[in-house]
Amino acid sequence: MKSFPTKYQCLKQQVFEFQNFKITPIRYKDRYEIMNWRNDQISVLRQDNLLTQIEQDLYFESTIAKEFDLEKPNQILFSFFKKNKLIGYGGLVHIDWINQNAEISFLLKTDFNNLEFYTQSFTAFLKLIEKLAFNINMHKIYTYGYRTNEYRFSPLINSFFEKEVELKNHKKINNNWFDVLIYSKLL
Amino acid sequence: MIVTLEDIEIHEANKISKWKSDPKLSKIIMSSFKKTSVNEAKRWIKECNKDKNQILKGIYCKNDETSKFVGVARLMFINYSNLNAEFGIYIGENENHNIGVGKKAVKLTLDIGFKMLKLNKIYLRVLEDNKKAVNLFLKNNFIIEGCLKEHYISNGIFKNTLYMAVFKEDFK
Repeated sequence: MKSFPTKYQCLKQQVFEFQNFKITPIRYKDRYEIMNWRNDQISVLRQDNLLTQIEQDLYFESTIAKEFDLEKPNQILFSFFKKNKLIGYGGLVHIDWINQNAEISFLLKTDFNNLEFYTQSFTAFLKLIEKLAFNINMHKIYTYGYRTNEYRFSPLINSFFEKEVELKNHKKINNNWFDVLIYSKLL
Repeated sequence: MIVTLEDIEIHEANKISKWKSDPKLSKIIMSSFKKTSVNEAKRWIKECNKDKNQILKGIYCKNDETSKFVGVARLMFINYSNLNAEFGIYIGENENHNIGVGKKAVKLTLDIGFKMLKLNKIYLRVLEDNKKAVNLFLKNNFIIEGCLKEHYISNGIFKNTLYMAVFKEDFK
């Protein structure tokens, strides 16, 4: 692609920082790394098939790029850095501008066994996303998670998110049913 | 009176246009109010029918001589891996409220979901203060799975939204 946008028109502030962590509007050059993480972690994502480079190019060029120019985009995605090194991506998706709520999307690089890294990074990401949500006048942010690993929810709980919904047996992974939990925070 | 679910014919778009353009109804069913033209309604019917993860049906009230299109029932986001779908329903014609049409239409839609599509779970979202609808779903063995606080704005006031669900084994 010749030029991928770098600024969201709907945002006055493009970069958000907290301690060593930072989010910037999602970068085109990060697309394959993100694709690999998504494919590694497919079982916990709303994704049915492994992504290919062609599909990822198309998604970035035809969907994500267009959101940059909209006054009220459906999603605002960021690359996520620790000490200027890419460690994940995410943002706000399914943004409901009328009801002023949005879903948090978050994916960390594939590093399944490093609980401390996960907890620290997700906690920082939540702080950054709250700043973003406040910036675009959201009233509420929420996120979905599968009850496969309870530890995944601790950053949410520690950041004062409340469990609002438990969708019983809502997701099937490797022939086992899992509950889907919705955690939310009013801003 | 017999209640049936049938495919919505394109000529019924005028009624869909009328219902979708009704601000009172859009508040109850949590859709964003927008004046909808007949052509937009036609396009909406076509798009729903094209969507493989959706079943759109019209609710019809029939007697010996007449058949009247009175509302809409939908299974959306049908997920064949997780065996679930989201349910949406409304009765657009006021005169058909409170006479058991909704109850029968819920049962017929669940029949499609559980018997025809072999789903395991059907869920929905409903405004917490829409007591009539909540009670209707509770009577059909839906359970409340949680409450999304201040998730919907109506007349400038944030309102709570319930998540409700019924499982195959609880469907009678």
